[in-house]
Amino acid sequence: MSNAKQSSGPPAIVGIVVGAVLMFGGFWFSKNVKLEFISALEKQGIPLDPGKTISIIGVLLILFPVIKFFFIAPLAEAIQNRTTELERTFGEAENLRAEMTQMKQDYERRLVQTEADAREQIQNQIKEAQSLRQQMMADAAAKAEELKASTAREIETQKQQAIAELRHYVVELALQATEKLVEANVDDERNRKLVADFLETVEAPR
Amino acid sequence: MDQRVAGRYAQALFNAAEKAGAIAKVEEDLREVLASIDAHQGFQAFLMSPVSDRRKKSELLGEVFGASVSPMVVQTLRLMIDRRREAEIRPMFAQYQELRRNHENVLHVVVTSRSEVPGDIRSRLIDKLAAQTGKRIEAEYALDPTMIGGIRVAYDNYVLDGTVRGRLARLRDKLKSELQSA
Repeated sequence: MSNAKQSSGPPAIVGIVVGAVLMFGGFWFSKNVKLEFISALEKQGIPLDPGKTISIIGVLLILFPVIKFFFIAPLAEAIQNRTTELERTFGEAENLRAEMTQMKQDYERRLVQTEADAREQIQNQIKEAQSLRQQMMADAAAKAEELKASTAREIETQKQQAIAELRHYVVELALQATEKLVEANVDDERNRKLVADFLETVEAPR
Repeated sequence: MDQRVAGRYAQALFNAAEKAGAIAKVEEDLREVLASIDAHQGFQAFLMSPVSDRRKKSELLGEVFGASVSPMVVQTLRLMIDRRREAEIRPMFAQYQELRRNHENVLHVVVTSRSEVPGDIRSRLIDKLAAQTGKRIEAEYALDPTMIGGIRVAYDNYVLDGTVRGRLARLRDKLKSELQSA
């Protein structure tokens, strides 16, 4: 940028040469040329020296490129670099902002999606828990019914067993009593009849 | 007790008796010998003792029974004593009886009762058993005071239980069986 500006104006050497001519010419003019109106102005209290003025203009023409070369150009370059850096920084910041905006949008979208997924998952978990609860309740009810039926069967079995044992006990007691009764009442006559009855019915295997 | 040793002596004696036509006589002699041994405890102890001299046992046996029983019985008993088979004499007699019964188609039954079985009942019992088994019946009557009534007839591997206790036992089994099936 600075090079382009330098190349668009007149060459610096021209300004230096013109300045040197004007500086030396003015100095020479101040020393050697005495104009009437200048003398008249000095008499009136106005010290005007055109030669010095021209010389100073020449000096300024010389100093201007130097100042431009040593101060203005580096300063412009620094400003340009700074501007470039700022532009780059702003660009990066803009990119980052855009990226962050995108990330924010992505995040918000993902957040929304995550919330939706979470809600769906929660709903699924709730449904699953409800289903599991119903299944567990059904299982518990079935087990309770089975246990109830098993207990009833066990009670019935025990009852039948107790009844059978009681009947056996009654039979045993009755037979023991019968045995004692018969033993007390069997005389020879009855014994003879018992043997006779036995002989009538006995079947001897060969 | 192993019956094979007694069975061999019994078989040998039975063969000799059969050949001599003295099966019943030999059995009667054996029964007499055993009765005499049982009747005299000292004689029995001497005869059955393993420390008694075999020669003296044999001589004593000849002196006591030589004149009253058949020679083949005496010879058999002396042979058993010589071979230290005194303990086999009674089993040998049982085996001899078994051989004789088989030979004569006789069925030995043991009739057990609480009191003596009357004669007419005995006759009816023997006749019925003979008719049903087809064998001649040889009954041995035993008394069992613990019986309530009735009789029990045992032979071979069979028991015909006509006792009161047996009937009650069958009634008990029947009632229990019906209770279980009910």
